[in-house]
Amino acid sequence: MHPDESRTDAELLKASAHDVEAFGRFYDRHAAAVAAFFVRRTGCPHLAADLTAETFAAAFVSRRRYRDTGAPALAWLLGIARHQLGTALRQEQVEQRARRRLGLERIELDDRSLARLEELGELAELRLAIEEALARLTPGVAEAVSLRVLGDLPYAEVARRLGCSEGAARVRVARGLNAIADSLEP
Amino acid sequence: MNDTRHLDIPYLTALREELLRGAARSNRRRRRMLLASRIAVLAVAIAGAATAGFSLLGGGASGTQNADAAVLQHVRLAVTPPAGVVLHEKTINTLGGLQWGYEFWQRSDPPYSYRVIKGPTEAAFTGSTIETYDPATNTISAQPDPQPKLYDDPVAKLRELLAKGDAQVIGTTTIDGRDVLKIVAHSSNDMLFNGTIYVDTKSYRPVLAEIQQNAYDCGHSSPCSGLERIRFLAYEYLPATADTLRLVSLEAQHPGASVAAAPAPTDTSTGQTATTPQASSKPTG
Repeated sequence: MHPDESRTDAELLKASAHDVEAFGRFYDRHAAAVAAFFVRRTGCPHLAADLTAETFAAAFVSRRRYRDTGAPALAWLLGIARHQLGTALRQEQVEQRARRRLGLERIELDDRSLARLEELGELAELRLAIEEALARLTPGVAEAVSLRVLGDLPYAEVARRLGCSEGAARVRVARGLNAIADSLEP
Repeated sequence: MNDTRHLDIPYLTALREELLRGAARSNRRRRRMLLASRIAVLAVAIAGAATAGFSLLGGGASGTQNADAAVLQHVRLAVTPPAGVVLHEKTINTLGGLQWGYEFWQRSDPPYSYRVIKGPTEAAFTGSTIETYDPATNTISAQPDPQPKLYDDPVAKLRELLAKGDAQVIGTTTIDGRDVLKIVAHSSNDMLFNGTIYVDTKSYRPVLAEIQQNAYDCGHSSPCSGLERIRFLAYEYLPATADTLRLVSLEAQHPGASVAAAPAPTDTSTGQTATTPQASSKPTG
């Protein structure tokens, strides 16, 4: 066993101020979990790769803010990840602040990484589960979800195509998404 | 304890290498900043020792002490303004939505003549008179001012405050890509050094000052209050050549201007000439 494996996350983060390999060990522990988190939530390995890079760069930059509670630092790391995801969805682009601060080069995503990230996030299973959940929706609700989410149409247009009010269209989409979310719960 | 799933994903292994390279660079930068901060603290120690009458650089020291003394001497020179120069400062000041420019040139040798431009006002001290320039009439008004002036170099002032313990280095940060020391100063009689001053970690020259103003005479109908930010666009020591010495002279800057002797203000209670405090002191930034 590598001596670093007996060290806690907090010890590794603290040691990384003078020993960057300690941060490497910290990365080894959590990289797959963070990447999988992003793949499942974005459905896009490219976006997930970008977000994973920014999350770990941000974790290194702000490592002194980590408070050691004795628990693994994954919760802290996923807190950073959620923040990065929220910002990316709002701004429609991934932040690069932490990567720029560390002067990191952008890494291209090769085909093998793309395929493996999809596997890591179990995207194939996720897509199948969503298709099955969509198939279980009533036709009106399924069409509303399809027009709004897959077609990216505004609610007014969804309502016009369904021949209903905009409010009714919103209700159908919400109902459909809730049903899909429920079916994806483990 | 390790999750090894990322090892067969080339992107994630490449990201690990890149992160570690960036982390190493960041650590090296941080160590340099810490070193700079410690040097500043050393400078305080030097000045403090000098105040107490010690001689850190005395003879008869061992080899190690000589090496230390060389470092200390280097630090001391870094924070000691050079002599025989023209100090040039240029700032942009903002306070409560107001913004104005300030530019100042002063000789480092007696009688410390200077020229200053503050907003629309341009004035100079020649060594015996205070002069103001009126661009509307292209006239320089001169008024005798026998009060001696001081060499007003913020770096010298900061060194003095650090030595007295009236200023402390509280950390490091970056402004416009420059590594700076963050210094909090509490000077009872100096407007610039009552707040937070950011100085370059290498040259110790000011980059930014943030000062809380409570009733600043900004030239408006009522005094301004709030946080004044003084951003230094230039802070340099110019060699005292014929060209640079012209920078401290109103006559040299406005060669076609007529010079008129302004009537000295009169103290109505005694009938004697009074020295106007504002005219005899350098307008502050």
